[in-house]
Amino acid sequence: MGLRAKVALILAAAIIPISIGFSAWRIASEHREMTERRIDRVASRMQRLDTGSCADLERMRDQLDRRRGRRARPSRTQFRPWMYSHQLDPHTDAPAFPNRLRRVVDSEDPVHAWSMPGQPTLGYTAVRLAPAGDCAVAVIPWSREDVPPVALRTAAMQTVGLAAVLALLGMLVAMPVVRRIRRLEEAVLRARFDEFTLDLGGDDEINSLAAAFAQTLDAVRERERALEEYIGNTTHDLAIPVTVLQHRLRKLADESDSEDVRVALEESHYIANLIANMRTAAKLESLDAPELDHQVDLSEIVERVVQRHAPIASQKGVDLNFATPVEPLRVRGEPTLIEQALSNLVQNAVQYNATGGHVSVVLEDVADGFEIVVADDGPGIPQTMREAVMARGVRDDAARTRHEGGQGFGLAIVRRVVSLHSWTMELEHETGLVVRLRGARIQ
Amino acid sequence: MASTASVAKAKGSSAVPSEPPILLVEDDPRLGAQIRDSLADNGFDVTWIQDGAKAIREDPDAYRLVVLDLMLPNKHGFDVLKTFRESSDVPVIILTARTDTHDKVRGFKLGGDDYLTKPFWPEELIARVRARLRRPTIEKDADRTIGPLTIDFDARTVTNDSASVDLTRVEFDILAALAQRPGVAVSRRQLVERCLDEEKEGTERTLDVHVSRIRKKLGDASDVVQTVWGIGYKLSEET
Repeated sequence: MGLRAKVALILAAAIIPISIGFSAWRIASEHREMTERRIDRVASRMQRLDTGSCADLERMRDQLDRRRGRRARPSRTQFRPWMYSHQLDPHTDAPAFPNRLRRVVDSEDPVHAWSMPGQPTLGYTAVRLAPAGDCAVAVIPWSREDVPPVALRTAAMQTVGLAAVLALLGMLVAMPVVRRIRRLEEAVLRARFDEFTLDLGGDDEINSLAAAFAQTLDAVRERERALEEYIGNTTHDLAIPVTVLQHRLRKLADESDSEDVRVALEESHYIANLIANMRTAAKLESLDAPELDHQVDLSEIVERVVQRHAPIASQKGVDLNFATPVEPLRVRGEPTLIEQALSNLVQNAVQYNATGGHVSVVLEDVADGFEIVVADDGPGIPQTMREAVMARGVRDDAARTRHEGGQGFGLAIVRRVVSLHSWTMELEHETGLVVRLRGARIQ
Repeated sequence: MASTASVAKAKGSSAVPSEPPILLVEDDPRLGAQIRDSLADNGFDVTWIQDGAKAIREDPDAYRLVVLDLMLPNKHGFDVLKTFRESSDVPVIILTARTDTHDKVRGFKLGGDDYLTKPFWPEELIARVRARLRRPTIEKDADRTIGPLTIDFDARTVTNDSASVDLTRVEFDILAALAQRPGVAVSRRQLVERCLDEEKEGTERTLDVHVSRIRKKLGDASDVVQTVWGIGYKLSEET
């Protein structure tokens, strides 16, 4: 349900009890007024007799009874007044004078008691008929139930009408709020990649919410940057000793053909590629989207990547070759990501191959695009792992295995880079593995 | 370490006595020494500077090539490069330890010719240095010698140990295409597109037939034309 509908509904729902309470109060007060008017009418009629004589009153009461009898009111007896002397002594069957009405002695007007203890629906009205006499004061007991209730239907109609008006009003009131929230939503979505300088204008709660968002996002960004910085520094610090190690090992390998040196060379190459992958993964995971609009010469990258893996390939006795078109083949993209993706494919092809094996990297100029084929005649990816290898994510634990066929981590990066550049990747399992990348080139 | 370098240096300067040295700007003492040794071992004279502020005062034209680290004390590598570029076109190979496009792009915009990301093998550096030094002359070559073969691109002739080899037009085109970059493979598809008349005989099978004829005509030098697994062919002296 949208915010507008909610506000309207809440307002409508809130108005119902309020309106019911208000109607009840109005009904009660109107009812009281009507009752009072009726009692006053009876009282003033009695007062008009201007007599304190009980005999006069008996006569009058009989007349009253007769008239009422004709109308057959069920509660007529309630209007039979009790009589008291000017000293408030009860006359004949009248009960003791109610204390609450004593001030009638000094009052020209009737005195009302709206309820008596233990009799909530009963009321009494005292009226002074004459200054003195045995029946100088009358007390008229009455019941609220005698008075017909005010029409409930009118009150109910009023409530429903009011609720409808308020619901409409709610929708109108919510409209600017909803509009601002939408703006906030758009701004937050935009801010995922852009710098988050969010100011919607105005000083309402939505804008301070935006400011709170901005603050939180800034904090997250700051932490992200700190982490990126840390990875950057760590890979930087690792890169130097590993380069030194590689150069020393190379020298050592030139002087001896020991198996230990050979293995150490391969391991240092593996570590070097891990460092490069770490940098690439950090870049892929970064809050800042990589800039993909650089002009990248794929021929140059293919050559560079093959050059990088050539020392290890020749060490392993794997024949690594590449071919590129004569003309430079340019694409739009991020050169370091493309280089590392291709490097991973070549690394895998060389690493899992055996002495005497072959690896080829061919860049071809095809209709309105390019094709890179990395092929090897190594063991390939085992049947059981083929689907998993394509499905794994960078963070997947299983992707990190470097056992036979454990191409996960590197291949996950390849996949991310390929999809980032809107390229396609196909794996063919013939003799060994053939990986085919295709994409658009700059015309 | 220092003695190794000086020995290598002596070896390098005797090989190419008139060539100016390579300027290496790298602050890390171990890596700097290692790179200097690698370059020296391959016959290059090296001047090694560890400080950015000091490097910026060098005359770039006194060097045939600059290997420049970016993260330098006192002056960033970019500042050094910028200053060098104001007066010189000396080839520069940037060494970076971050796979940062901005670094690379900034480097190229300033005229840095090439880059290498750490960690790297000495072979990678040597290959890039050689490529930078060779590049300007590559277009001028009118002929090329590979093993016993000499290919004259202008005259469209091939000699094997001074004996002329009689090749058809297509056969010469194939050999010439391969000879443009000796040691680097050319894909079958490329060779078909560039050398064969696609209408008549443009298939990879036909190409293989042409190549076997070339080999036959080359006689004892037939090993120069090598089949490359998964790609096509290349010319190579190594057999």
